[in-house]
Amino acid sequence: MKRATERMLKRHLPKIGELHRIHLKHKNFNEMKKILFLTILALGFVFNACEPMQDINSELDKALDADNAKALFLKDLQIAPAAYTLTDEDYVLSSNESVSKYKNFSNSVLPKDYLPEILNKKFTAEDAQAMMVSYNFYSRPVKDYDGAYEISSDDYSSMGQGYGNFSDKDVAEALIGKLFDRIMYAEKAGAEKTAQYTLYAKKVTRYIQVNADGTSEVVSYTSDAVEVTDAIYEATGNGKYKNFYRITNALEDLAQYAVDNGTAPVVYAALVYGNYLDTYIVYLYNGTNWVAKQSVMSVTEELNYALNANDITQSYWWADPAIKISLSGDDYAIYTETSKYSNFDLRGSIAPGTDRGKLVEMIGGMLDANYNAVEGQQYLVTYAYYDGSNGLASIRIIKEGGAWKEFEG
Amino acid sequence: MKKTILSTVMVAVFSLFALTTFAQGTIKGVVVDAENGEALIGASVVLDGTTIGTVTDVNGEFSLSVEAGDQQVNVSFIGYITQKLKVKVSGGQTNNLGQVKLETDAVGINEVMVLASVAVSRKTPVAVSTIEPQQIAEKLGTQEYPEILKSTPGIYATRQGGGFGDSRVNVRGFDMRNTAVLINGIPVNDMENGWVYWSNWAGLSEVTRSMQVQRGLGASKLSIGSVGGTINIITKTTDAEEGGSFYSGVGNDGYKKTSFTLSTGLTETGWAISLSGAHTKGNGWADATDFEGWSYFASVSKRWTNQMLTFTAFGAPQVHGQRSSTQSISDVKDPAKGLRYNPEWGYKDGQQYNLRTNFYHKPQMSLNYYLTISDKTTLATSAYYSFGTGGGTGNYGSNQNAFYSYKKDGQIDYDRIVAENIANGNGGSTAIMRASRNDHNWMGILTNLQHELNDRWNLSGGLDLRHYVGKHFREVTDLLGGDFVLSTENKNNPNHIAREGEKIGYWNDGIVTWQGLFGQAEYSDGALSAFFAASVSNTGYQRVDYFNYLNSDPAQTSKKVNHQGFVTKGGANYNINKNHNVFVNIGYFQKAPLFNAVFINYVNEINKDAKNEKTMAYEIGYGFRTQDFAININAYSTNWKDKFFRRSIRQPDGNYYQANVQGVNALHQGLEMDLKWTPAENLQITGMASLGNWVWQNDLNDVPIYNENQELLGTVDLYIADLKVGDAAQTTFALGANYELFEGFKIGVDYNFYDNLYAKYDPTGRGDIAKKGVQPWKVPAYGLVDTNVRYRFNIGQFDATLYANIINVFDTEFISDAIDGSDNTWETAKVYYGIGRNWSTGLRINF
Repeated sequence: MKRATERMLKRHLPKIGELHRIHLKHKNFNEMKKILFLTILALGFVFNACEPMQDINSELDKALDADNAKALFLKDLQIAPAAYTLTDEDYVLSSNESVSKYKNFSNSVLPKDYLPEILNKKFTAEDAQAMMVSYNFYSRPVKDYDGAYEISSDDYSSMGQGYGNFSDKDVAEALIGKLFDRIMYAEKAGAEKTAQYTLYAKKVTRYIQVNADGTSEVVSYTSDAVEVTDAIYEATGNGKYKNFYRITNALEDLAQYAVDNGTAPVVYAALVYGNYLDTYIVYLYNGTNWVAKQSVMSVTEELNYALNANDITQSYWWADPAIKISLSGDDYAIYTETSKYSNFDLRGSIAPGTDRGKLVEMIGGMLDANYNAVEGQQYLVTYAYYDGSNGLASIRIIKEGGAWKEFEG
Repeated sequence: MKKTILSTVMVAVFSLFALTTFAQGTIKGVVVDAENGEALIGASVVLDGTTIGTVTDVNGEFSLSVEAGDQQVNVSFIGYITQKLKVKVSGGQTNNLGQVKLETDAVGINEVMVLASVAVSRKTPVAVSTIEPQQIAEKLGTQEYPEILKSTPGIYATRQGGGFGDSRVNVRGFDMRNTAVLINGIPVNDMENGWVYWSNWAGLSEVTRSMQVQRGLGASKLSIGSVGGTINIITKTTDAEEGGSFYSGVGNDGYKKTSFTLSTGLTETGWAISLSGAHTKGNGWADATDFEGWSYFASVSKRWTNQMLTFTAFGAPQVHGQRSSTQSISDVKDPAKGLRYNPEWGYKDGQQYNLRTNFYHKPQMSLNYYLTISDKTTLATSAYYSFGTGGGTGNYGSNQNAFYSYKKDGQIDYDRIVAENIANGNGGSTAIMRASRNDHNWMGILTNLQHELNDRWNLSGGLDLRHYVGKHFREVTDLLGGDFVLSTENKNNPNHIAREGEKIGYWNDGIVTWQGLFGQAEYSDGALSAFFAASVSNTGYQRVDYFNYLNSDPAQTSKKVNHQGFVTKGGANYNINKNHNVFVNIGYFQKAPLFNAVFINYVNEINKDAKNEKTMAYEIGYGFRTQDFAININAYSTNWKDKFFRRSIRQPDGNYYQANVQGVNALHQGLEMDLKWTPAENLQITGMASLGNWVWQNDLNDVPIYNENQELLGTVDLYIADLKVGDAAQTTFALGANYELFEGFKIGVDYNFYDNLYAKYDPTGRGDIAKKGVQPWKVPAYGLVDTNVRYRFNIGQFDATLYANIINVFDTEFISDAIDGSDNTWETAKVYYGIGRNWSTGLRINF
């Protein structure tokens, strides 16, 4: 080791000696000053510019606070799936009591008003992203009494019912649905048809109105009906079973009783043993089958996310009325400027460049050419662009008075 | 140990004293170039086997005190063959060796320099910076080839996305389209669009002998009319000395480079052959920018008494992943992404798969013939042929935007694309990989006849003829799971079931012919030298479109369109004395419109009244030189007029009429300075300052546009007055120090500073009056430090050199390229971040 060091030093020392022979030449003194000046100048820049991105980075740090707020907001949210069905827990999130209690929406509590708030508490997404949401909607089916299809005796036979009536509502519902599948034609899903059948029911409370002139009729429920007491059953000769055997018995016996006792006009609530009730069910054609329409239906619709980039907490879900279109190669093909790269060049001289009006005009032209676009309809169009990098963006446009313009919501 | 050092020092000191006790004599002389007799400044004169020596002064003169007796002095200068002179020195006497003529170490180099119009200091009146091969070897490291120019005035070089060869260089604020690049005098700017694809020349640094930037008008006699300047690259020719070298190096991110050179030397029969080759490979600094490149160079020369023939062929086939998408700053700063983030790749079956891969091979062959007709007349001719094949990959298909919308962890979800293509079955693939090919065949001949009229006047003139065919098409490279893709663009086969290798998208040829004629008169009388040059060129453009026209349609081949351009320039240099010189130059030229300004809308539609772009430029300069100090200062003004600008205007019938609008002008003015100072034999300081003021000159107000029927269709407004020119730093500084710590061991530190870099934007898109006067976003100024070490030593009988480089030593985070956004702030700008700290090291062995 020692020897090696010695050898190395011997080899290099005279040369290292040269180091000390740096002698500045006096005639260059002026130049030297110049250089010193420049050196100092340049060094100044070194310190100035050693962290070029400092300003921007500190602004980005400020943005970080906003990011934190955003992260906090997003923490409890899930990324929206393509499709989602509301669960019972979801309805509980509603600010509306009826929704949280009955786990459905209805005509008085519209999904339009109360569905988004539930989704807002659960999901986030990209701007304009769509989600198919299924939820329960309550509405009493509307019976078409006049246009109802009356189940004929042949129909009963074909359904295996020997008596010309049904004695079980559920059986009736199922069998009539199957009958309709066989005999009822519907052009498209959503068609409705009311079926009328006879339901044989035991011991049902019926409402019988006795008028002042002694006539009587079956009416629907009234809250001021007088319940037929045991005494009245006794008085009318029905004391043994404390009901009327048939509705005709009830009509006759109660009319007589009211006239005799001077209580008419009156409505009695009477228990009738054997009833042949005209019953109506609304059937709905779902595209393949006829199904009995329930009062609570599952409804599926598309909702879109409106992302507020400035304040994410103000983002929301809504049923976007716009028709959504994603432009394809066939659309870009209609302009020379867009055909080559299947996108819009947003940089400068190639249309549309930086001119957003021109972009709207060009996209509108594509919708006119390839989508039979109509006046007054909003279109949410996703298009590809190049502005130094490739990307996708959406624009909402509408045609008014023959001219396309950006839709201001 | 301590004792040993002390005694060693003592021995050394005494031995120095001992030297002085011998009798002394002096050797003097002047070192000149054997070919042209010009003094060689800074040539080294060293006593053989010692470190005693000196360098020649500004007149090439030297004087050296040596001990009396038989001595050998070695006179050497870079680029020349070392002369070993035996001298007898008597004590107290001066031995004058007279002219020591050094022969160039490259056969035919001077002839090439004439053909390429290489500027000569204190003679050619243009602003110029020259990079020597030693500088390239020591400073380049893993940088891109054009980045070697970064410490010269007026230059802004960046790597853009960071792919191998994807760099660019701007000169005085003008991009590659307006900067001519000549390799051995042969123009290489794309004949159609004017761009220079540095990836074609990725291996060229290996074989570069010098790289000279002539800023402004430049010295080229050709009618190239480049607004920014001329980059004049001279490759090695055939080495005059026998030998060779081998190099092997490594660097960050898997960088590996191996190269060799071999030369026979000039044989007695006048033959010389040189060969070199290199292989470079790496993963690239940015994500998915892996690359592999080869390069080769071969040169064969045969010399007769009054003529010489040289055949040179070189090329650099390469494949590299690209990052062609700029990002917003907030995206880059997203922790999930980062500075190296590249969105243009993804995984396919678990393997990395790039959307953008560039592949190209452009061999360049030239046959040069030099004939000395008489003492006064010489003829130099270069016939060349080059064919390029290659292109870049990307996306295609009716669902091609899937590559931007199907994302998985920020990258392209190839598996989903493949699954959808497979699911589409008989419908074929809807999102596939294609390559956009840009092949070409280019041949030309360049000839220069030089005649010395008398002692003062020198005339030269020649021809520059070129024929170029560019072949542009797309082809299917990967169907990504499907069996075919439907291509509807070909009118001759409108429902083409395209499979791999078949043409899709577009297919057209661009044919460019060029006839140039040039002449130059040079006057040289002692201290004064002057020149006047004029050239004219005719460019013929023709387009063949195999897709948009039926084969039966005669319009498939367009008419030939001719445009003429010309250059006139003149200048003078006056050497006030041996230290000071001043020069001035002035020029005016018109440049014929580029191919895409003549053929518009990607069809054979001719832009009938495409106009020439015009440039008026002048420059004054001052130089000061002493033996150890040199400074150059110049001021320039370049007025670029009638930049190509086309606007669509709606006609009364609802169709659009396209009009050429003139009057988009830019004014680039500035001051440039560079210096080199050698305060001590082993210390060299370099410096550079460049202050530019580059602006768009004027607004366009209510420029009326008429259609063919002279109906007024509307007016054009453009609000660009005083807007800064973007895309290149207007202010740059550089400061460097190279210090030879002990013999053979040199360390260098370089600092480069860039300021007033504005984001790139298209001035012809600035039609909104609300944005009048709003400057593009100004990118933060940045300064970078590079350092390098070179150590020369012997391994047995071989000379060896070890190189080490660190580029961006402090890993400074900076933005090198930016595209302006909608509100001209950093929030909307799209950027490329510059490359972080890079290192490389390598060993060269000469034999």
